[in-house]
Amino acid sequence: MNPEKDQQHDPEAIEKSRQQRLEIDLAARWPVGIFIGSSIFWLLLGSALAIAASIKLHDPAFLAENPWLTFGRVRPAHLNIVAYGWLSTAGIGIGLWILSRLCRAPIRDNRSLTLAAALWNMGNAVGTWGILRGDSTAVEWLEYPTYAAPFLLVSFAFVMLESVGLIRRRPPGHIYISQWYIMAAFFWFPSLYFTAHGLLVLAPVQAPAQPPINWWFAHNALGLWFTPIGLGAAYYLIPKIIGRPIHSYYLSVIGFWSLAFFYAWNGMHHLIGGPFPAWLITASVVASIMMFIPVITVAINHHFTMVGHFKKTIYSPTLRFVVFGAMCYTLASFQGSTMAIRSLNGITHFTHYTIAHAHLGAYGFATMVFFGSIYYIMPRLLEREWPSRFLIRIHFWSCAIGFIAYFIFLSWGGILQGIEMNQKETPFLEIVALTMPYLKLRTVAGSLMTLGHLAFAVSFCWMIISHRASTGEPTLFSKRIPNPDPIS
Amino acid sequence: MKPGNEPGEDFDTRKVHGAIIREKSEPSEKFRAAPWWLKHGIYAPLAMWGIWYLIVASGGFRWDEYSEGYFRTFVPETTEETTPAPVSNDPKALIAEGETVYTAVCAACHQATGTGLPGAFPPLAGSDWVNGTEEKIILPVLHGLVGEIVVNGETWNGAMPAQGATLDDRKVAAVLSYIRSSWGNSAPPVTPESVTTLREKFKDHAPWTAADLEAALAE
Repeated sequence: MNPEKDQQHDPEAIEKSRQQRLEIDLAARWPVGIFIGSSIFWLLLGSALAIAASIKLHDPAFLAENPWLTFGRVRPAHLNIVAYGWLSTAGIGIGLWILSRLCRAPIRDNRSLTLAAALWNMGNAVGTWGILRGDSTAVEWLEYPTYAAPFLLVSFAFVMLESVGLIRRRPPGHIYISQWYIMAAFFWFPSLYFTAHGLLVLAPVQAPAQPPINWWFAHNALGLWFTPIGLGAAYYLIPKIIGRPIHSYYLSVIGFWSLAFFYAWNGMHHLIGGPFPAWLITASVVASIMMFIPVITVAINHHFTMVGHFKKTIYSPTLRFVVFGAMCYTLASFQGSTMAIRSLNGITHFTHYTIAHAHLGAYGFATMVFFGSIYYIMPRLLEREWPSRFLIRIHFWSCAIGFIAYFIFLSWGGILQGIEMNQKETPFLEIVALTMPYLKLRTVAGSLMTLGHLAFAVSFCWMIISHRASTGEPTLFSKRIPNPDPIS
Repeated sequence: MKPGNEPGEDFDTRKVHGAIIREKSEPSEKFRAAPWWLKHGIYAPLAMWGIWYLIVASGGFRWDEYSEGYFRTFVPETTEETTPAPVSNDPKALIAEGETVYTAVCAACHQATGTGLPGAFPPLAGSDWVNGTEEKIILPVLHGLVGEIVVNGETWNGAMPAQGATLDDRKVAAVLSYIRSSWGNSAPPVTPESVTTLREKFKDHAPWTAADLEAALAE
């Protein structure tokens, strides 16, 4: 009756699909491994720069004597490194692996992809060096100077070619929702980057048109690049671990197309109150509120898939990270929609509240989902298990507690800051002093997150260099599993 | 790169490939319809609100209708020519006008409450310059002021840019009248006529220094 069901119980089919997965993972080992491994290096560097920038906000003399480490360079370097060095690098690796798995096709040209990984990392290295030596383009989210862009775009061309090849070699029939998301993301990101870099840096358009293009790009980098990769990964890993199909294909499809349709308009809500035609801003406010449609749809789809299986987050690191991330996605999107309402935007705009919101999306959602994905992918790529459940626990709790604290402190400080900034009588210095305790607490919370990243990096390196024979047993949060359900 | 045991390998294949063997089959999707309450309770109301807001808050989709007029379609359009309000030399009107100029031009450095910024910009509130003769503040506004100055016994060393090119005589008089009557200051207002006179007398003068200014005023 159900072909999928029959396949699951036919020992020959099971053995065949295992063989196939083995071939896929072997072919992906080098390129995906390099993308993921190097992303962890950028994660650490990005965290270090984040802490430096955070300290400078309450202690301006910190590292101020070296021009390479002034706030105006460290802060954009942090943003670009975590966006292009960490999230994008990990995202490409994770996306390629999931795409290859779902297309039932091994990566064919893993040499060109390994070259792509090398180019991508060179692009990040050159770009970071460019920002720190003072060559930033001064366009937010696009600070990497022009001489870094060719590396990134050529590298991405290889990634796009391979992803088209994978889709072409897929068996006929149903296309799973993660394939939609990842394939779309692999095309959206390079077109966004190419267009924005061209119109803002290479051949700048007239000044009044630049901010809309800038925010069109910056917001879409989150919504049409990190979000689809993160959602694609969550859609793949949740059913994979709990062993249950996705609740509804229709909801998946509505979620995908409404995201694609509404997200591209969202960026202009960064310009509320700016000198732009009212309709442009209003269209963006409407599209931002319409984001409730994809977000509620995806949340319902995930929830009904998970329901009855939440207990498994006690054991499976992957599932716990991914579920944490998926919940943050819902929260971040709801919050983002409300922040686009003109009256509320008047309070939160230009405050630390916005920074907290950006981290809820980029960290709470994307980063946590990527952590979960890496915990799932690496044992299959390397055919080794994670070496220490202690380190995974440290990683999760440092990042989760650190991030929640980060979010609460900065949002609270941001609201107070926003209310005071709307009082004409309050002197500016008084508002700066008001935010001080929250900025200091942010440094503490950020350091805790970085501790988690260090545990993760140690865990990763240990896994790569260890020669211990594989136990064949997954490394879970807890030693005792209630039933022999292999969940990671 | 063939999977499985190669001849001569002695490790346990099932252990090495443990992760792949134990994982569940690739995910699939059920085909359940979207629930009715999602369609009628969430999608439809959101879409209706979106269309309504697009219509009322888009300033008629004109390119020259900016954020301030985004609710314009609710306001009946007036076709009659609005005659400009008569220019009065009433000090109250002048001071009210001056507040707008102050917020736009001066507040960035001297701050909204005229306190200035310690070490960078001298205060206007309670300043001996502001409450002194009107010439001593009209001229720096018109042509700028550079170098060391002493305000309330404290020495400052900065540069105030000239505003004479961007502010007309009435605006200079307005903003100075506002400053001289706000934040505890209580000097008489400045009239546009005295600004006109000084502008003529020191036409296109370079930025003043404190010594320059004293010399010119002593004449």
